[in-house]
Parts: sequence; C-alpha cells; structure tokens
Amino acid sequence: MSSWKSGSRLSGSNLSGSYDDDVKLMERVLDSRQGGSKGGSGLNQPFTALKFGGGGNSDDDLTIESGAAGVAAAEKRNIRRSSGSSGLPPLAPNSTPSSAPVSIPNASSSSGAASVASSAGASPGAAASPPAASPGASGQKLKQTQKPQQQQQSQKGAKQEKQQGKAGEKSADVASSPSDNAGDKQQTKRKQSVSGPAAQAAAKGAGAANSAAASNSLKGSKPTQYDDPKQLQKAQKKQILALELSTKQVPLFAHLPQYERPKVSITERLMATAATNQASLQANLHPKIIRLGLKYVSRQLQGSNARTIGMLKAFKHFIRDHENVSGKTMAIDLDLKLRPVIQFLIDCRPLAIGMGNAIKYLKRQIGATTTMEDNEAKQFLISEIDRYIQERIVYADEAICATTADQIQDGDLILTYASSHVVEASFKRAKAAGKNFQVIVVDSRPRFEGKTLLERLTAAGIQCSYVLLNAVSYIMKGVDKVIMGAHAMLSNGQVYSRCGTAVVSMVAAAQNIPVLICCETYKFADRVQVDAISQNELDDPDSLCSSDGGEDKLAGWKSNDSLKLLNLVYDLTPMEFVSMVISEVGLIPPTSVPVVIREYQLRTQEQIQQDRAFY
Amino acid sequence: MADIQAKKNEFAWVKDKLTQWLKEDPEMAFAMGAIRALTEVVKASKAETMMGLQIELEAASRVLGTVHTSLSLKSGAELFLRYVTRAYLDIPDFNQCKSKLIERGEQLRTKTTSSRKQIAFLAEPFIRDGMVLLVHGFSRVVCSVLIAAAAKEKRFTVYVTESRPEPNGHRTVETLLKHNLPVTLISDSTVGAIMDKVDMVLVGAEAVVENGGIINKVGTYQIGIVAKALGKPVYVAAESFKMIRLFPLRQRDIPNRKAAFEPAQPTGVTQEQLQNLSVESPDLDFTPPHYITLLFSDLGVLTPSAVSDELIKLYG
Repeated sequence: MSSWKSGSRLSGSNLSGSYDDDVKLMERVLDSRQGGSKGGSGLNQPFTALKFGGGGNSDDDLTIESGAAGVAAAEKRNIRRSSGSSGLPPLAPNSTPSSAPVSIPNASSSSGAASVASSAGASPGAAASPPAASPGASGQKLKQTQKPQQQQQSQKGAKQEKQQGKAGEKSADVASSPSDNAGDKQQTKRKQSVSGPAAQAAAKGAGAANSAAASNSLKGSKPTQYDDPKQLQKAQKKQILALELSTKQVPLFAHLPQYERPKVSITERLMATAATNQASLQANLHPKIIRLGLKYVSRQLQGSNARTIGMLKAFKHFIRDHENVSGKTMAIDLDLKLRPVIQFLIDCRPLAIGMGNAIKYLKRQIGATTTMEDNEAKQFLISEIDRYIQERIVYADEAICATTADQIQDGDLILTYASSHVVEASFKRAKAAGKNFQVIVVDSRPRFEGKTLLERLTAAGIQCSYVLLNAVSYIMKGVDKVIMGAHAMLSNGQVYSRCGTAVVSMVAAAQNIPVLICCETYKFADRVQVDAISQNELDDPDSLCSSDGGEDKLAGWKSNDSLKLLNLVYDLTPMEFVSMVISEVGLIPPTSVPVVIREYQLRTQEQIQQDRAFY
Repeated sequence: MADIQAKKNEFAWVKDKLTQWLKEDPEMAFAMGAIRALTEVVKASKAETMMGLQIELEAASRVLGTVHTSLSLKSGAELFLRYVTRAYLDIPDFNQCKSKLIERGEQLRTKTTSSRKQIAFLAEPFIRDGMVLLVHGFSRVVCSVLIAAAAKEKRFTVYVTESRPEPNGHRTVETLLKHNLPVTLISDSTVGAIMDKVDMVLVGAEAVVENGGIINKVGTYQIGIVAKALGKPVYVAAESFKMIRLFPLRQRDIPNRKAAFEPAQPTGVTQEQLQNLSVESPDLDFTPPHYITLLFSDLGVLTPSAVSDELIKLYG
C-alpha cells in the first residue's frame, strides 16, 4: 500500500479524474514497466514472472485492422508513449501468488458436485473441477471453510484428470463458468446439477456431454438486479473495480448500474477497491487488460467490433504471458485466472453481447486444451483467438460489405443512423464499384456518432445529407432503403442496437421502406428480450447537459427533486420493422436468427470433435 | 468463367432435349425437367474431375435458362448443382460420386408426381365441407389439391379469377370442369367485391423466396392484400424445389418478365395520339410473407419463416 501511495505523488499524475489523463498516466507506467525490471520494491512475483512480449511498441497490437480508423486515430492522439522507465511501482496491488486458486469459493455446489462425481464413477465430469462454479458467494468466512474442501477437490480433480484425460468433462466445467457474472448461488447449483447428468452422459461419449454442456454454456446467466440490496451487495463484493454508483437514478431503470463519473483517477479507484475486496486485491491484472479497461471506461474504444477485437487481443497477451504455477492443467488455471479479468472488464463497462459470445467461445476452446502441454495449449488458444477474429469478424465484415454493396442500386437514396463500421465499409465499397447513390446520415445527441461517419463518407466522395433524429419522419419520404448496423440480434428476431434505431425503423416501416440490418453472426445472442428496459446500458446522464454555447439549462439537475436525466445506450427494434438481416451467412429474414444460432452450434460441435480428434 | 462461356455451345442438345420433354409431358414441372436434363449431362460427361463436371453443369444450366424463363427451372438447376457439391463432399471418389449423382437424378425425376401427391395429402384437410375458395392463376399443384379434396367427397365452391392477360384462369377452369367441380369465373377486379364471401385463398407459386414470400402470377399480391384486410387466410401450395435463394425487398427486385399477352390497345385513337401510350404488363409480382398464412410443400406445412430455416439447412 505504501508503495502505491508514493506512486500517487508522481509528477504528472493527475487527480482531476479526467479519463484522458488516466490513460496517459497508465501508458507511462505500463511502458516504463515494459522497458525493464526497474519496478522498484513493489513488484510482486507474478509480474516479474510475466514475460512482456512484443516490446514497447505494443500499442499496434491493439490497433484494429478491420478499419476502426477513428479509434486508431484517437489512440494516437490521446496516448503518448514514454520511453524509459521511471521507477514507478506497479499498479496492481501486492498479493501472494498462490492464493488465487483458492480465493474463489466453490460454495455448496462443490459438495453437490462431489456426490455426482462419486456416483458417476468413471466420469468426473462436473465435479472434477474445483473452480467449476462460481461467483456465488464471496464472503471471507465462507472462503476459509471452503479452503480445505477446495484443496481436496482440486487434488481429486487433478488426479482424476490425469487418469481420464478426457476433454469431455472439461466442457462441463466450461459450462458452469459462464455463470461467472451471475452471482446467484441457486443458479450455480442448478447449473451444476444440470451439468451433472450431462457429465454422466460423458461416459457414453465426449460429444454428448459437450453438446449438453455447450448448450448450458449458451444459456444466458441471470443478470444482477442493482435495485435489490442483497444482490447489489453480492455484486459489489465481486467487483475488481468499484466505480461510484450514481445517487440519482430513474426508478424504471434502477435495476441497471449507473455510475458517477469518477472524481479520482481510475487507477486510484482500483486501489481503493483492492483495499476492500479480496477478489480485487488478488486480481493481478495484466497491464494490457488494465489499459483495455481504461479505454472502455473513457469510451475511447467504442463499437462492438472494436471492443471485441480489443478484448481478444488483450486476452492473447494475457494468455501468452501467463505462467501456470498452480500445478493444475492450463485449462483449469486459465479459466480461474480469466474470471477476475472478465469481472474487471465488466466493471469498466458492461460487456457487449458479441464480447460475451467471444468469451464463451474462448472458454470452450480452453476446455479443449486439457490434454495439452502448457505451451501447446497457449499456442492453440492464441491461434484460436486469431482465427475467431479473422473468421467471425474480419472475413464476416468482408462478406457483409460485399452483400450490402450489392443491395445498393444505382440512383438509390439510402438512410443510415449513427455510425456502424460495417455499413460505412459497404458504402465505400459500393462507391468504389461505381454505383451512383446518396446517403442521409441521421444522428442524435448526446453522442453525435453520425458526425464521424459523415466525415468519412464525404471524404470517400459519397454525396451525403445530415439530419438529427427529430427530422427523421420528414426526411424519410423518398428514401429507397434504410441500412443500419446492430449491437446484437436477439433470438426473437429483435434488433438490439444504438438508441434511436427503433425510431428510424418504425418511421421507415410506416412508409413501407425496407430496413436492412447488417450484423455479424458472432453478435447473434441466444437470448430473448421483449423490451429495452429489462436489459440495457445506462450512460452518464451528465452528457445530456452540455449544449453548444449558451446557458446550460440542465446544469442543476442533481439538486432538482423533480428532474431526473436518463441516457440510454441501446434500444430494441421489433422484428416487424426489419425487412432483412445481412450477415456473413447471407441475407436472412429476422425470424431466421435462431436458425443461424442453432446451425452454428451444430457446426461448432463438429468442429470441437474434430479438434479433439486432432489433438 | 471463360470455360463456362466456351462450353455453352456444347450443350445445345440439352436445350433441344428439354424442349422435347416439355412437349411430351406438359404435366412435368419445369424444375424436374431441368434436373432430368442435368442428369443427362452427367451421364454424357467425359470430365475426369469434379471441377470439370461442375463447369459443364454450370454451362448446361445456363443454356437451359434460355429455354424458358421459368424461375422454377432455375431453382431446379440450382438445387441439382447444390446437390452435386454436397455429394462430392460426402463421396470424394469421383466415379462413385458420378454414379450416385445419376442415381439421384433419376430418383428426383419421379419426385414431381410424388411431391404433388404429398402436397395434396397435406392441404386437403384444410378444405372443409361447404367452404368457398378463391384461386388465382393456373397452378397444377393447386388443381391437384382441389381434385384430391373433391375425391374425398367434399362439397366446396371455387372462385377462379381470369388471371388476365393470358388469361391463365381459363386453363384452371378447364381442368376443374373436367373433374366435375363447380367453379365460378370472375374477372380480376371482382376479387375485392367477393372477398367477404370467401373462406380461404389458395394459390400456387412460381418461386418461394428466402423470407417466405412468393413470386407468382401478377395479381397475387393484390389478392393477398385484400384477403389480409378482410382477415381471410392465404395458403400457398408449392413444391420444395421452388424455394430459391432470392431475397426481394420490393416489387422491382424480382426478375420480371413481360406477360405473353398485353392488354388490348384502344382503337379509337390516331397513330400520333398513340405515341403517349405506354403499356406495362408484368407477368409476376411478389407477395411479402406477412400476407401469407401457410405454405403447403412436400416438406410439410410451413409458416413463411420456416422457409428460410429450410433454405439455410439446404444451402448451409
């Protein structure tokens, strides 16, 4: 702690709480640490054990090739690289290296699982993995009582694993781990009992267990309701980074977290959280992860694709630098070590749905590495991440661009809303193919994302118009098609996208204008939502206040009892308003989203079988 | 690409054969004719590799496209080509694969009558005693459904639209009269007036598109709108090989053909005055899926959204 305090008095450290400054500080510290071992006395073991691959120019690793040029530009503007080290202490709090495996309690589900194991006999299945469950309880007391049981379990598990070496059981482990961020003991228990019989089926064949487990892992975990004090407490205990909860929230959305803009730097908050939360103290976050988290908080990294790719690249670094000192297989260890990482990212900003799917994929692949040597496993996982990025994002975007560009005909007037990277690329491609068309960009406060899109489209020579959302019904007449992107497609065919998409779609549908949604399949969510309230993201309400010059009439909103501000990030567009979804599998009606999810699941089963056979 | 172009000349015989078959058997569905022709191509092929065979089949199917612009011809050819690719993935040995293709092609030939029988079997229970039906255009599948229902001794009346400009409706009337079914012939514009008397609308399809909509004789869209407005169900009877990978958004997105006949031109005007006259006579229109209640196909009774499901399963 003391070393940290000295760190906070560094020259240049800015306590004003602006995000940009935070990132600058982070960069300086991280780069200095990468430069060498001059870390001062505060360096804890796990960090010295880390091998910083890639050298100082690792920022390019996070540059997204798929063309989020604005993001890269933002990075270049805001992040200054500093050379040399300045003897700064590490940012992550000290911790004992070996405590990590035991710190995550298994709660009562482990005993339940143990009985399943003994009854199942040959298939260790769900029981074999001590960290198999989750985050349910996190009190210190509980932890201690679980410790001896844990160690026993882990030994049993390790033994059984060595005996069996079947990958099938791991899938059950993987299955329960997505309940990571749920925090409901009952939920965990239920999952364990579900994966129990699934594990028993593993005796018949790895495939069967895998499919059951995979289907379990694809079921959404119950999100925390932030207006329930018990659940809130539980969630807060798990947090790696505890941002300050907003004092004034709209009651209808009280179940969603809304955070105040931090008054101290994020890194200070990280330390503050570590002081109260065991989980945070033992997190040992990789610097790339911390950097990524900061980018999320400061909204430097925006857009589902950019965030997902950023996350996957950070995971690559994490996996590459990870040293398995736990004595268990890489699969178990990585799974365990990934949890605080994911929790931290969630604490910075709730995961995008595509990010959630990517994490599920990664966990599945981690589950497939049980029979591999550590280095082999690392190589496998890194190449799998690369493959995911290439296939599900980069190539998918290529395919979508080509298809969408085909849909654009000569003389078309196309309307788009906010800014979608794949829609932008499609327009540019159609233009390059020589098509003659015009674009209307509809934009909205407070983000004004359409402005960047407008800039780029006009730079590409496309004739554009620009209106705000309130003019959409006026401007809609005469439009030939509406093309928009999506944050996710839900299983009931609804589109979960930037707030305002629903309005644009509704106005278009009322005038019989086809609405095309461009969405990669990795964003197809195996979940259903009927309104934009039960699940959403709340952004900073203060951003609604600022106006261009003139008096800010909403400045005193916090002290005004009759006034509450709401800044929603996403909304839900009903299926009836959407004509077509363009994804890399082709043009599909919105009703076919669950079909694609189903087909992908089937294909992934086969793929996992093949991978297993290969390894 | 160049290979395919060059090869097209080799397949003129395919064209002739198909024309001949269509003449011999007017009941044969165009798609089946296409599949039969392509099976002949496989039999006669001297290609040594799958790639070579596929190029030949591509070229042949393009030639077939010139025989008749029927969409189901195209869809049949596409279906067969898709089957070829799939079969090769399952059977890597070329000669084995080739014989399997021929075998399957022969099997598919008999599918026409069996498809129609299956559809009639599925659709007939929807026609109940005392019902009033409305049919549009001439569809052999629809006729077989009605004939099957009549064979079950059900009593129902059928309104048949003229389906101008050909007028196709007259062929339907002929077919139904030959089987002693009572029909009422109406002109296309009378549909709105009689719709409240009708219990259900039954049409065929030229093609079933990706989102479950159909491309059919012009006038189907109109009937669909009127039926929906009055709450009447619209049923489509179409074989599964009519499902194509097309996703039209609006009327102009469909490959439109001019009708064989055009509306009659006015006589009481001079040549010069006729300059101002333009005639639009499309042959087909597109009915979006929300106007369609159910589709009867040999794969079963499907909702419009299930069509995409089937297409994804078939084409991956």
